[in-house]
Amino acid sequence: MKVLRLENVKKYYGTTSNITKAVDGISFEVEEGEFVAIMGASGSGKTTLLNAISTIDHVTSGHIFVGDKDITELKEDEKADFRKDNLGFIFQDFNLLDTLNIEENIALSLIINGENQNKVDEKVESITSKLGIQDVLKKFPYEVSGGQKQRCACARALINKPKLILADEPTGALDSKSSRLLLETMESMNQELKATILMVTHDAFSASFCKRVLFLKDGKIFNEIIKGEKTRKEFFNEILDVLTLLGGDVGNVK
Amino acid sequence: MLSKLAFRNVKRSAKDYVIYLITVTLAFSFIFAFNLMSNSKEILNLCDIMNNFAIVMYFVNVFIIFIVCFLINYTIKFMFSKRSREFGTYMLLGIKKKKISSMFTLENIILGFLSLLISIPLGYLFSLFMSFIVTRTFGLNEIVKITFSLNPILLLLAYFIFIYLFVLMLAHHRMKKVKIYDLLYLEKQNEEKQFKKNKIRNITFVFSLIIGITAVVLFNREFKGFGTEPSFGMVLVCIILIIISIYGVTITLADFILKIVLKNKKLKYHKDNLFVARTFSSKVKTMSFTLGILTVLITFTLIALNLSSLFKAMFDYQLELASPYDISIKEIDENNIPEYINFIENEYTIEESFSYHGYKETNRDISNALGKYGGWREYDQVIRLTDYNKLLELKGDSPITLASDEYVVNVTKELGDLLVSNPSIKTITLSNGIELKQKEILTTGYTYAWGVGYGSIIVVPDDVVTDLEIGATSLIVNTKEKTTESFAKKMAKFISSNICRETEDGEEDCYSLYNLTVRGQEEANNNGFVTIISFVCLYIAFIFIATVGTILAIQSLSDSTKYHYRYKVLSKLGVRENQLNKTIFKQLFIFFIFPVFYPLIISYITVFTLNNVFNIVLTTDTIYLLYYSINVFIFILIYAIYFLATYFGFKRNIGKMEEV
Repeated sequence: MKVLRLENVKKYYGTTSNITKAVDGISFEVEEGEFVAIMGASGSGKTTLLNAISTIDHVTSGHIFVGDKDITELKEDEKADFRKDNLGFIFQDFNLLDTLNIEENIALSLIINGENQNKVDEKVESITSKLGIQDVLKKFPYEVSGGQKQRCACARALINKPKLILADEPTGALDSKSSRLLLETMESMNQELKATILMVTHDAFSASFCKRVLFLKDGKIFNEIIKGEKTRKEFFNEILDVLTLLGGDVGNVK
Repeated sequence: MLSKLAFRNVKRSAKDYVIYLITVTLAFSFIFAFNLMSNSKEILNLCDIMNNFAIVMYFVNVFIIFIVCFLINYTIKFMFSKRSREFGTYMLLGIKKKKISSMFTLENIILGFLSLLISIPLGYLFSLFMSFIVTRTFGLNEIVKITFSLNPILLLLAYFIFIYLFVLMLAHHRMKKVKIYDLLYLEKQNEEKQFKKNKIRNITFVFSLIIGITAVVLFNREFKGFGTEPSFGMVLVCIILIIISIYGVTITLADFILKIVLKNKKLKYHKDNLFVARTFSSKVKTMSFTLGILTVLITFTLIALNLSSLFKAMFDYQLELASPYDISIKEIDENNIPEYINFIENEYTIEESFSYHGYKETNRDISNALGKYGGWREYDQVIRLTDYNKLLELKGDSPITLASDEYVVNVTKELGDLLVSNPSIKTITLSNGIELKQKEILTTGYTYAWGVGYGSIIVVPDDVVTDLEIGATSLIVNTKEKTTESFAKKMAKFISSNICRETEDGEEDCYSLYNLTVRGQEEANNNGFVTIISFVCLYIAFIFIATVGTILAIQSLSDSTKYHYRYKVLSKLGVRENQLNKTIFKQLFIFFIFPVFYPLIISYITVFTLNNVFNIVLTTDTIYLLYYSINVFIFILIYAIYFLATYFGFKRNIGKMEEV
């Protein structure tokens, strides 16, 4: 089943005299249970694309279907409900609320939406034990490490069992050890919890954990590679090759 | 759950909310303190005039509440922008705007109530301090006790509800309009830049300046001096024009300064000028609307402070002119004098009593010279030199001398000019045919203290009055104790039967209170007026300074976190810490002093103009300069506290950033 389907999505900025085509006619699909990375240099439009899928930003034209719903046609309040039921988010800078402790951060959306108190505790416990952060539940975000914060964000993203998890440079603010740990966590989220993940990154190592990588350049899909039966190392090298190509056509170097 | 979360947010983000709490608490404390005063029976009973205090305060409150709304709305906007990311995250998690909005509303209500609760005891403390001032004004031995009463608390509650309903409605509206993308990706949006083109800005600047000058000139013409009646409509037009001008100049001036700095290379590259000028200009460009309002508020503050001291000076001088003696009774029957003295003696110890005659001078040379200001009497009042000197002595002045063919005329200040230039009174002829040469024209006033209805008094050598008819007999008594308002009333009742007389058509004509002047009563009235006016002015001034100071502080402090990278860059470029602090100081100093400049000029001109009217009732023509300086000093003092608090807060924020 297709979780996500984009049809010729465009996002233009600016006025008629000075248009920036951040996303310029992108179409692709994500199947349930996939772990897809979108790569590209800064300014290639990857975050804009992610924002459009997140319903944070609206598109200039085109359609985005999550499940069978066209999210470009939702109203503001419907969007909120839609996000609550279908999407989970992981950000580069965690976006945790520093007034709440880790447990409350994870449970926040459940609490606000009036979930039963006992069920909340149960859900939080089950998810945090899987992600290995059950020891820091009572701590505040500023008291734990970046890696723990990001795993907390993962837990928050997972707790509703969303159709799709969107991650924006999740390892961007982490050291390499925490990065690896997080990516392994995400991999297991994908494999064991069957979460569908769409991740934006410019880091080849991060992307090598995915099953499929889309490359963006100037708002268009430049290339697509699939891991298939390759080892991660092979896949990593393949990604690097594409990136080298992406870094500039031969013609660009004078 | 929603309330729980809101409550937790309040508890945990207390540090962020400190500014908010202080602002709201201070505002409500002031409102409560002033209303407690104006509703306190003890204060209102100080004298009859004070009854108007409560009524005046209702009107002033309307004005104040408007400003407090503006202030709290600004603070809420600031908190909203500080937490935009948090709200963005809520929305991202699928929480509806309505819910977030009601949570934010709930938080604000909790905080508002907290401030309200604190502001009641704090306001009470303020009112104690103010009652101390009142005690000093009235010269009372005991401090007036302010008692708690229900009315001011209910009033405060009503104001609170109104203000919060209003600002929370605005906040709700803001929340409804905001987009999740803006919340997540733009920490804070600036106000719109007002001027896209330099030319429009230049024209606006010049135009605003011209409007300002026109307004000031018009205003000055309305208050030319004694005898001109300013038209209310014209004054209102002037005020509106001045406000427009202040606003226009404020939003354009910063760019001008920048232009000057940037054009001059020496200035541009001197130390940190470039950085400071650019930072400042970008600041002003993006918050010109707010700055414009602040500048207008500062102008009002300065004018209010000055009005308060001008009125106080005026009333003090008036008091001195009207009642230099403890008790004076004018135009009485000589036979009643012992009776009056007896009555006074029942109450007070008499230090000295003195009665004298005023003589009729029917030629009216002086009154004729004064023209329409000559008064309504059919004759000029003449008094003998000995009596005059005694009158002077009783109020502690040294006597004057006259040659046998000379006279002195004493007129009120505003009439002096009319006489000096008049040659016809170089010599006057009294109604008994004696000619006298003018020795001097005195403008010390007091003529109303010496006789009823006279703007002038002629002093002549003793033997000259022989053939003149006696016009009036007056009694003057100085007592050892201070006289009181209640005594004045008793005395008036006592003498009223005697000072009323039958007119030709058989009706009773009473001058009662005009004839009787008791210093205690005049003082009480005077103090009443002074208290009401200065309280209203100070109330406005305090709230306005607090508003301006808070908004500037909030702006700067939010900048210190928002633009900390600017200072990081500076420090990476090799600027040392103490140098960086100097830059911050300079930048904040300019930011704080900028909205004060134009108001200083405008308020000076306004006070200068008002002095045209006031100077006749002030001790000297230039005393207003002293008041002006004192008031500016007071203003700067309070303002400086806000500035320093902001500076240290700013420094701390930048310091914290460097550690991270």
